[in-house]
Amino acid sequence: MRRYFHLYRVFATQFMKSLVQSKVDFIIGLLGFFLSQMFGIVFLSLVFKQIPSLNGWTFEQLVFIYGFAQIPRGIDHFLTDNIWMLAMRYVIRGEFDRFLLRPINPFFQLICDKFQADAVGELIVGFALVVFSVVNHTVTVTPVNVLLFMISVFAGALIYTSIKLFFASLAFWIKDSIAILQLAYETADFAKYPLSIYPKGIRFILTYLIPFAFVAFFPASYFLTGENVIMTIGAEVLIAGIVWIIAYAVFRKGLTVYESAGN
Amino acid sequence: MGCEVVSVKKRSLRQSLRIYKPFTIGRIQEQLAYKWSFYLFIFSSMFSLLVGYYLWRAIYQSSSSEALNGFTQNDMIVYIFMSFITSNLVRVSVTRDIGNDVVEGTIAMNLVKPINYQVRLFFSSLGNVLFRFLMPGLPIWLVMSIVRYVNLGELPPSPIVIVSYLVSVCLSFGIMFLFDFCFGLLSFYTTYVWGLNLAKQAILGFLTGQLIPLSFFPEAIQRIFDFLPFASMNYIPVMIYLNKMPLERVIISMGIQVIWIIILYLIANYFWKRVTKRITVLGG
Amino acid sequence: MIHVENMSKEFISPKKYPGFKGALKGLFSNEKVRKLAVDNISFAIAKGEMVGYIGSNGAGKSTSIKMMTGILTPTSGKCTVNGIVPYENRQLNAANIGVVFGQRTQLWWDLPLSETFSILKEVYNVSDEDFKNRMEFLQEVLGFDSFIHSTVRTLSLGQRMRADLAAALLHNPKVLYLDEPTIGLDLVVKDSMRQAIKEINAEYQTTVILTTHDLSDIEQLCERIIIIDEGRVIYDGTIANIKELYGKRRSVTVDVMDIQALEAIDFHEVFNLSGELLAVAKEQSSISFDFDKNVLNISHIISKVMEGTAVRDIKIQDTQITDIVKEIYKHGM
Repeated sequence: MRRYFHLYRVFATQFMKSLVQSKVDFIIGLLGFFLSQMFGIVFLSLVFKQIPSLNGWTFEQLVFIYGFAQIPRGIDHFLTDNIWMLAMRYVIRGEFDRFLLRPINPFFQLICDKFQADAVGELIVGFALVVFSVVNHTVTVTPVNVLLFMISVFAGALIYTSIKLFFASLAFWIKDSIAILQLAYETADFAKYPLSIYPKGIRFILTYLIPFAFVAFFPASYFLTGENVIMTIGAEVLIAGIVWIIAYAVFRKGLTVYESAGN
Repeated sequence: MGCEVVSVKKRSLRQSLRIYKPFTIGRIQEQLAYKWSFYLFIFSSMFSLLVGYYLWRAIYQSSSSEALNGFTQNDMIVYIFMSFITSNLVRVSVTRDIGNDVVEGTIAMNLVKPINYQVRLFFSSLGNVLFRFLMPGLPIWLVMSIVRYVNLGELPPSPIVIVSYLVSVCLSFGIMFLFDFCFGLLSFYTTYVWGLNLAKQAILGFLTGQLIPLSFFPEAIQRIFDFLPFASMNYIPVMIYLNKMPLERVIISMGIQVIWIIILYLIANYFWKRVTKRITVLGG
Repeated sequence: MIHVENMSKEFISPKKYPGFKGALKGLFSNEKVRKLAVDNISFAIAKGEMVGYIGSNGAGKSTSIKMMTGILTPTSGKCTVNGIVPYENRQLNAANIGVVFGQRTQLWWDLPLSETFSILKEVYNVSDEDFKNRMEFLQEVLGFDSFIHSTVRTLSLGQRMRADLAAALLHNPKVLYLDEPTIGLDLVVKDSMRQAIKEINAEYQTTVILTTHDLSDIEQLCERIIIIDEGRVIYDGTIANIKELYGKRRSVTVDVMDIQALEAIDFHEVFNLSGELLAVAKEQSSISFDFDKNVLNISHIISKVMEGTAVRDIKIQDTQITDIVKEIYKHGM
C-alpha cells in the first residue's frame, strides 16, 4: 500500500512536469470544458427570463444542482480519464500488454498513465457555482453539511469511475467499446436537471441502470432541502460501493479474456 | 464550396468528380465499418435531443403564457428537432481530419499528390453530410412529421419551404466547412486537436442556436450575432423551415449566408497560403 | 524454469466482408471465424538456457510468448514459469520476468530515460544498492550514458532498444523474453545487443527466450532452438543437430590460376553424380561446387581441380541455419 502511495506521487510529479511543457494545450482544453459548462448556465438564465420557476425549482436551486454535478464529474475526469483509452485503443491495438507485464495492479497503472488537467475547467465552474449558491443562501454551510458534501463528492466520483470502468472493460470482449461508453457517459447530461422533468423510463435508467441521478440530483436535493439524508447521500454511498464492486469484477474478468493484438 | 474552383485549373467538372468521388464514398464506408459504433452513435447522439425536449416541455408547463418569445410549445419542439437534424447534417470533421494528418505527418505527402488537399477534404466532408442525411436525419424527420400529423393533424411545411430549407442547409454546410477548415489549421500550432474540437463544439453548440433560439438572447447580443457567422450555420435554415420569416427576409438571410461563404473562403485561402509556406519551410 | 504442457490458444473473431456491400452486410451478420493460433505445444526450458524460438509470420510464436508472459490465458493446457502460472498470478510472475518487444517500447514515451529508470525502480521494488550496482553493470554493457537525460520519444531506434533492454533487466529477472530485439538495428548496435545478452546470461544465469527473424542472432546466442509452424512445435533440439539432419549441402569455392584449363573437365561425369546432387558454377577466375556431403568428399573435388590448374584460394561454407529454416518453412519437416 505504501508502495502504491509512493508510486502515485512519482506519477503525479511526472505529470506536473509534463503539464508545464504543454501550457497551450492545457489552456485550450481548460477553456473547452469551461465554456461548455458555462454555456449551460447562460442557457438556464435565458430560460428563467421567461419563467419564474421550473417544475417548482428556482433558478438559484437549478444553478446549485448544475454546479454540484460538475464537481464529482471533474474529479473523476481529472484522476481516471485514461480509462477511455482502454475502450478506445489499448485493447484493440494490444497496447494493454504493458500493464500486464509489470508487478503492480493493472487498474492502478491504467489510471496513473495520464491525468486530465482539462478537468480543471469543469471544477472551476462547479466550485464557482457552489460558492455562488452559498453566498446567495441557496444552501447553508454547517460542519455536518461540509462533511456530507465531501463524502458525497467522493462517492459521486467513484460512481463516475465505476460506470466508465464497467463500459470500458467491455472492450476486452468486443475490442472497441468507445461508442457504448460514450452512450453511457452521456446519460450524465440528463442528471444536470431535476429528475422530475423526465418520464418514468428515463428516471428508471438514471436511478437503477446507470445511476447518475445519485451523483448529482439526489445529493444536491438534500443540500437544497435538508430532507432525507439516508435516501439521498446514504443511498449514494451504498450505490457507489455496489457499482464499484461490479465494475472492478468485470475489469478483472476482462483481463482473463484479453487477446492482445497482432495474431 | 468554392475552395476547389481556383486550384483545379484545367480539370473538367466531370473529371474532378471522378477523381474525388472515392473520398466521399470512403468516408461513408468508414462510418459503416464498425457496426456497434454505428448503432450506438445514432442512439447516443439523440440524448441531447431528448434532454432538450423534456427540458423545454417542463419550461412550457412552468410558464403562464402560451408562447415564449413568439414560440409556442409546438414551435419549440419542431425547433429543437430541426435544429438537431440541421446541426448534425452540417457538422463536419475537417478539424479532426487536418489534425490527424498533421499528427501523423502525412500532410506534406498530401501536398505532393496530384490532388488538391482542400478539395479532398471537401469531398470527404460531403461523405459525412450524405451519411448523416440518411442516418439519423431522414428517420428522425419522418418520425417527427408522422407523430405531429397523428397527434396534432399538422402537415409538414409546403414543398417550397422545404426546398428553401435544403438550399439554406447547403449554404450552411459551405460555411461550416470553411469555418472548420480555418479552425483545423490551428492544429499546425497545437497538436491538441481533441481540446480544440471541444472548445469549438462548445462555442458552436451555443452560438448557432442548438440549445435555444437566438431570439431568446438580449437585443444587444443579438445585434452582435448579426456580425458573426454562427446564425448562418444552423439558426437561419431552421427558422426557414419553421416558416417564421417573410419571403424577403428568407432571401436576405440566404444572401447573408452567401456573403459569409465568400468572406470565410478568402480567410481560409489566406491562412492556407501561410500554412503551406510554413510547411515548405519547416517540413511537415 | 519454464514448463509448457499441451498448451493451445484459439481466437474467435467476427467475420469481415470486403467492399462497400460487405460493410453493409457486416452490420447484420453474426458469423464467427475460429483460428487455432497455438496447437497443443509442450516443452521445458532449464534455468540459464538461451533458447531461440522461431517460426514464420503467424506461426504462433508471439501468441505462445504472450501466454508465457501472462498476457494471454491459454484456451487449454498449462504453463508454469519458475513455479508460477503466469496468467493466473500476473503480478507475481511479472516480478520474475523481463520483456523486450522490438516493435513496441515499454518505456514512458514522454519522460526522460533516467526518470523511466527511477519509476521502474519503484515499480519493481529494487533496493537502492541493487539499483546502483545494476545500473553500473548495464551502463557498462549497453552504454546508455550519453542519452540518459533525453526524452524517450527523441531516442534513435538503436538507443531505444538498448534502453528497453536495460529497463527489462533492471530488476534482474529470472527469465528474459526477447521478441525481435534486433529488428531494424544496424550491425554495430546489433552486435552490442548480442554481446550484452550474452554477458547478462553469463553473469546472472538469466534464462533467455529469443524470437527473431534474424537467424544470425540465434546462431550467435543459442544452442537450442524450438521451431514452431502453424501453431505446432516441429523441431526442438540443438542447432548442431538440425544442421546434422538437414544440412546435407556443402559448398566450396575455389579460386584458380587458369579457369580455361578446367573447361575440359565434366565434373558430373568424373564423380558420376546428377545435377541434383552436385551443382557446378564457373566464374571469371573461380569455380564453385554445391553438393551433398554424404555422397561426395571435399578432398576429392579439390584434388580433381588441382590436377587441372594451380589453386589460389579455397572457401568452404557450412550450411547456414537460415537456409535450413527456409527449407523447413517451405516444405515442412
